This record gives sequence, C-alpha cells and structure tokens, in this order.
Amino acid sequence: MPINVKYSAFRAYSQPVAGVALGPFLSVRLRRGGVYYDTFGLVDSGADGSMFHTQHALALGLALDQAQAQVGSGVGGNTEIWLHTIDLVVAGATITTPVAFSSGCPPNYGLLGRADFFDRFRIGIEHRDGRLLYHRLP
Amino acid sequence: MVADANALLQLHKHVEASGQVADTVRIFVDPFGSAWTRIYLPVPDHAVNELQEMHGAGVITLEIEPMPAEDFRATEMSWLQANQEELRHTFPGEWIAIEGQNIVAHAPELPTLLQAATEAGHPHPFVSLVPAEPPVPFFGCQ
Repeated sequence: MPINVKYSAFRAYSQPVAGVALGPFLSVRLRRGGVYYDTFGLVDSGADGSMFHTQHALALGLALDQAQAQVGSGVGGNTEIWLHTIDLVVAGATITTPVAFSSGCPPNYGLLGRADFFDRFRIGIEHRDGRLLYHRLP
Repeated sequence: MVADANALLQLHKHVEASGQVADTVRIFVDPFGSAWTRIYLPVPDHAVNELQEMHGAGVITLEIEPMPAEDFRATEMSWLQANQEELRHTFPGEWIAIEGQNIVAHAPELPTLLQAATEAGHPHPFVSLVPAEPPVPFFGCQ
C-alpha cells in the first residue's frame, strides 16, 4: 500500500566547511533575549536533542559553571555538557528548548536533534539526490 | 544560488514523475531572455525606518512580506560553500560573521566576533568557524 507523505519545502545538501561531507544542513538562529545570530545546523536524527559548541554558550552570555556540568554520551564516549534553555529559530519555527552545549560538538555547526527539532518537523532525507525535505508541524 | 536553482529543478522533475502536486517555482527573465533567481541582502534597521517614514509620507509604497522559510540565510550558506578554499587561506582558525555575501567581522573567539560585528553595524550575523586544518569526518559528538 503506498504511503503519501507531504513535505512543504526542501533544501539541497550543503557544506559548512571544506572537508565536511555535503549533508542536510539548515540555517538556525540561536536567540537568548536580545542576543541572536545564525549558523549552520545539521539535521541529526541520531541526536537526542539539539547541541552546539560551548563557544555558542559564551556568545549568548550563558555560564559554563563546572558545578552545573552534566554527562552526555556520543559515539566517541562521554563528554561534559551544559543544558540551557534558549530559542532555536529554524525554518520558520521558534522552538524554546533546553539545548546542550559541549566542547565535543563540532564548532562549525550545531546538531538539530529529536526532542526539539524533530518534534516540530516532519523530515525526509533523499540522500542519493542530495536534499533534505521538511514540513513544519502544527 | 546556482546550486539551489539546480536543486530546485531536480526536485520538480522528481515531483512531476511521481504525480504529486507541484509547488510554485518563480524565476525572473530579463529582456534578453536570460533567466535569474534572486538573492537576499540584509537591510539595516535604520534603512527600514527610513523606508517606513517615506511610506508614511507617501513618497514610496513599501510592501513588507514574510521571507519564505526555505530562503532564510540561503545567500550566506551558498556563498560560504562557494568560497571555502579562499576562506581557509585567509581566516584559518577564525570565526567569521557574514551578511549577504560580505564578511563583516572575524575573530578567534565567537563572543569577540559578535562584539566586532555589532561594532561594524551587524549585531545579528550568520557565523561560522573556518577550520585551521581540514576537518575529520563526523560520526557523532564525542
């Protein structure tokens, strides 16, 4: 039985820096109060939640207090993370959510994960054709 | 933007073949028959205020429309992708702030970069780190 899936927009695969494989990247705005700016976000279904490098926490004026550090796990093992609630503005949606900041995350781009980003979007990846399809959910 | 235009064409070929309803695709044709797609350039706050004042005075008609979500920062992302090699030679290991197709600030740390971009009149730029060395393949955060 065929299943029809509706997407409303797509983005061709892109590459934030030379040497990183073409992939499903979107522009994402990080916002905390009046401080906001945009960067690359990799759509990553393997990430529990969204994560950015600790440089972004510092840029947003967030503390990286050692007493508040938690442990997160990745492919390479455990790493220190700091959770702070900020706004992610991506593909027309504003998502207010706890975001993990870690020095183990690539500095060139953040990860858009399941608990927040995937909760707000239907996502399709057509890797052979090099494109990300998405649809904002109500 | 050429890459995006080509991808758009590929998608609509796919949509046509699958029999789904097609989205609208808009291109612009000049008097000589050449086709174009558009890019976005940032408009500073003071220029927006000035345009609104001109609109209020009846000098111009200002139309304000929401940007299609899929176009947000597409200019900066395409430009970065097209200029990676040059950036790696010019700003190795530095954070860069971009507006449109222009680098408005660069600095070794992101907080410093935002401060420099703000001082240059661009407080909310698109930012990226230019690696000093070729990055290794990514298989998940460590």
